[in-house]
Amino acid sequence: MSAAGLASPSASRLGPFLAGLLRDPIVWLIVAIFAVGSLTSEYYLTAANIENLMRNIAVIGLLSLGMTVVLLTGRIDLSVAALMIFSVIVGVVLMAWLGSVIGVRWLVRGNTFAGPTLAVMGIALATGAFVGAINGIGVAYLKVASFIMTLVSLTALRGFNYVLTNGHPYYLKSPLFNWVGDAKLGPVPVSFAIFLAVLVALIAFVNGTVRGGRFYAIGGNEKAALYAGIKTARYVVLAFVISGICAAIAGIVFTARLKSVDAPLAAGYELTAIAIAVIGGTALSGGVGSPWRTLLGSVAFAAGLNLLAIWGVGTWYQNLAIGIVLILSVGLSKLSRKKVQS
Amino acid sequence: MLELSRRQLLRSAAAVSALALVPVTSLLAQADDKGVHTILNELIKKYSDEAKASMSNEEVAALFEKDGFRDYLDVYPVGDLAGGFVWKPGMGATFTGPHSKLEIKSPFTDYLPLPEGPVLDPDKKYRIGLVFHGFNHPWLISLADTASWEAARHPNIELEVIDAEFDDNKMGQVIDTWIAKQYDGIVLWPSREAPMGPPVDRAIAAGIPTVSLDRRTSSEVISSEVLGNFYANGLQQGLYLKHAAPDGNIIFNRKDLGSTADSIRTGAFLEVIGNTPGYKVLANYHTNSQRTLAFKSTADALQAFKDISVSFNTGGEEAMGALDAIREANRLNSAPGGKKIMILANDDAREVLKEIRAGNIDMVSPYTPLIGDIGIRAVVMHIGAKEGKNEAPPKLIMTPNLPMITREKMNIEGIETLTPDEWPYAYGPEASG
Amino acid sequence: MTTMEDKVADRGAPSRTFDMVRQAGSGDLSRLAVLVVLVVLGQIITPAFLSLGNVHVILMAVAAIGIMAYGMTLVVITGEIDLSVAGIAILSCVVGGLLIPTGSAVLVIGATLATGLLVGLLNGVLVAAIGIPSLIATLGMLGISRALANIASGGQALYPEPIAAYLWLGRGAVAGVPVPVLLLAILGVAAILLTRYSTFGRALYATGGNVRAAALSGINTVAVRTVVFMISGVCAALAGILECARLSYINPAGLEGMELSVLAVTVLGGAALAGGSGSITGTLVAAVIIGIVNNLLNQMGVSIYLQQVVTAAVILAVVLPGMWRRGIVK
Repeated sequence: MSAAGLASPSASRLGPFLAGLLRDPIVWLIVAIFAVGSLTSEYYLTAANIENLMRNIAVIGLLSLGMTVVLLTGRIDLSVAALMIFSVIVGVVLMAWLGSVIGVRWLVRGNTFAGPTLAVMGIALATGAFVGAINGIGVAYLKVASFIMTLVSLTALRGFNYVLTNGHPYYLKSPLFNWVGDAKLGPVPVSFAIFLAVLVALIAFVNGTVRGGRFYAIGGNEKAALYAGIKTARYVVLAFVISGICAAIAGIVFTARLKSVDAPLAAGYELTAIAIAVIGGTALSGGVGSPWRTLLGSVAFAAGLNLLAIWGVGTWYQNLAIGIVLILSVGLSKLSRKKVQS
Repeated sequence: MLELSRRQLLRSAAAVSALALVPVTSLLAQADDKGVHTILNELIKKYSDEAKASMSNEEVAALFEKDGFRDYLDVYPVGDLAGGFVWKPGMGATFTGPHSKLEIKSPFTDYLPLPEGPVLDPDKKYRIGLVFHGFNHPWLISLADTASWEAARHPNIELEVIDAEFDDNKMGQVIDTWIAKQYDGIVLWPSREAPMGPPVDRAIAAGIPTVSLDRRTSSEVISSEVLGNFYANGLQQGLYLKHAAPDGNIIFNRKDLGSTADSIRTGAFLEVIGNTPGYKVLANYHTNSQRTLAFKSTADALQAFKDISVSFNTGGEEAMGALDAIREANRLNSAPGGKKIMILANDDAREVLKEIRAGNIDMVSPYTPLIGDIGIRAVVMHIGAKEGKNEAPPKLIMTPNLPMITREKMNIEGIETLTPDEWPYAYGPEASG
Repeated sequence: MTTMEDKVADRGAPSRTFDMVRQAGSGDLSRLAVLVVLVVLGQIITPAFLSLGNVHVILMAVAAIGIMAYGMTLVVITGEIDLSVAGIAILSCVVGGLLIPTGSAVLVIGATLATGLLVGLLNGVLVAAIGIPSLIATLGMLGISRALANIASGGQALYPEPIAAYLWLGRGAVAGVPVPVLLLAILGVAAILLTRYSTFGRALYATGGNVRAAALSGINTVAVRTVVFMISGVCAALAGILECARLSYINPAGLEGMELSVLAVTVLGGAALAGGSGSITGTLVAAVIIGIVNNLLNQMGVSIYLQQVVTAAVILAVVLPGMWRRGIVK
């Protein structure tokens, strides 16, 4: 099952789509994990565990979705995890400052934020978009390699996180935060529902519109896209903005669950996001991959780790497994492609 | 040296607490019957009251203000031991650590004791989870050692030990998994307070007794918190400094900003020295318990300042890093007047004790990791209380304050210090050579 | 790592591929300028900046990173990336450390370097023979080697104190020059000779410039890339020894995040991630720049968190003009 099948907007592809699913190794991997899980533990298929699984997928899935869009254009975004935390911190700090200016105390007992939650979330989203735009402009207009640009923003953001909070956490206490973090819509946690909403929006845009399809064109052959009249620089900036917004949403969902935001959180999550996108079939060179496949990658990754946790496997062995699976998943597909080509 | 016979506890059924009785001659030297715990608590109160009234040393006061120590110190509990327990050096069981394979003498195995053998309902299997960070950190692996030892004493306890590698979110996920698996009890060592509140709240809401060790969580409904003696650590570092020298140019190697360990230790130290004019704050680094970072910051500080006389370290790793940097730069005796740079440390690692014997590190205020067993016993007692079999332990379980260790025996403001040879509880591997 | 943006850049590659000096030159001016500015700034901020003691501290702080960066630079010249260097370093040291009870310096140091070589070989096979993108392969190997380091050591630190030769590598000196600094210099010279005057060096740039063209012109690109990963692995292992010897302490949790510092130095040194350009001199200058920045910030009492922001700014400041001048569509 290749991304090509989903890349072109067309009406009735449900049949071939399902057939493609059946042939896809990652779908079988997911099925296998669930099968093994249910056979080896009475707790794997319980409502409580599935709920945990969905919550785990939500945050890392959101980061991976944004990463996928950037990867489609042949770029990379290393700053997503730091941005995730930074955007919420900026939201809280800005609102606290605003409150002090207009004379209202929104920061109580030192570092509990009790002010308007929607405003914080709005500022967080704006910050995500803004930093994404900066990344995009640096990459597309100032011609800095995306690895370097986002490595620089990663480093700077991590530093800022500590400087802005002075090492203290900010507690987030409000009904809205609690709802985002803990509530459920039926059996589905709100965080997972948000993830699905973003997923659907991206599938519709990237795989369903002409504009969205341009990411693939840029990733496939940038010079050709340029000659075809596509303003590639703008789309690159857009890709990073999308990534930034996804990171901000991930940050909101993440901190709502922890009911706090703290500088050292989410260290290294950007590498996990890259791994998941790649396991889902996104190519680092660009032009291959899709939000849908990243969903599959996230589910496989989270379900696999969840299974290891249910089994009580030690963390070192979990890390070993992640590294091996990452290499195997890409290695096997490369080897099979070589076989096909030769 | 103390004379103790050794047993392989995990294999023999013999009760080990009998071995805790030791020749008490040199060890019951605490003059009062109060016990060192109470003496230290009284000193804590004394200096805290003085500091609250005023802090005349401006540089110290400025640092104190900047990092907001007052808030952290005010909420840190200082109190008596549960059940009127009095601890004296020499108590506690000896065994081989199941994870580290090192010889351990664990000081508090008689605190809130639980007899060996099946607990509560002998026909029931109790599944308990211990989640912490740092299986590859000597202090933390010793914490796990004591917890696993305690669990192994009771055949109907199944203990799962998971390392969350300093990812707070991961620790929360582990707890959620245990809630889904309907575990009977949870013990955790939280790295930071704020992110751990919600998962603990969820565990309690699911009816699972939960106990935290050493550092705290932001949860207000946690079953019990086993607290370490951070306050007494920083206090004794300050007391030693005041006793040894009326002035000093100090560089700070601290733990990560915002962690309980950093705030309480550094805050307590500053409270003690805050009203003595002769102390200067030269530089202030956050080296996050990493030896290499402490090494680098100390090396650079040695270049920036030629008159450093005190190196204050909030941990064993930091102290070792600082010492290595000072030695590499050949500046061990470069304090004003050709004196030795004073190195103050926490964490009674065997490595650190070796340097105290050699005269390189001046004092260490022990912060023993050997408290995991208390957590296991506390959570079992909570399960028992839930089942109506016994009283629940108190919510705040203080651990005994420990006296500082110095090369020669000293008496500092009523505290009898111990020499390295009198301290059998050091953790971690013996540094060879 | 060859991304799409880099493949587009290949259009102009053949003429640049063999003109190594010109490529190294484009960023060199901004780097040297920054270095001079920093030294002047340093003298203003602390009068003892250029004292022997301080220079010693700065060079010792960057010796290990510099040596790792040599290996990384070679890898990047061929158009690949090695994220696993810190993991290789710590795993190698642990493996060597497990042999400390034998008391043999040859065994301990030999095993350490051999491990670095072997893991590097594995990286090379995954990337060059099987075709896994190096970002992924080395990311996976990073996780695997760190996990293995923990498992093999059981999480326990090891102490190399009984092995005098080992400690000498980190703490010894020859004619007053500390061994790590000496190694930094010697290996630097060797690497410069390799890249500028050897066939292998030319093959590195050719492979990085345009893999297909290089292969067509007779270069065994698979072998070249495999060897370069092995070199990176050995450099990482050696750097690991220097760090562990200095502290006399092999900690399986150590060197966390070092790969990013090494990458920062390499990139700052002018190596383009697309491949085909970069120089060892540039890397060395970059390592010294980072060392000076950290030293100054520490002396000024700036928190490590703010230091990160400054480091990021420095990287951007040096890299930006170089990218503009190249005018690559990236």
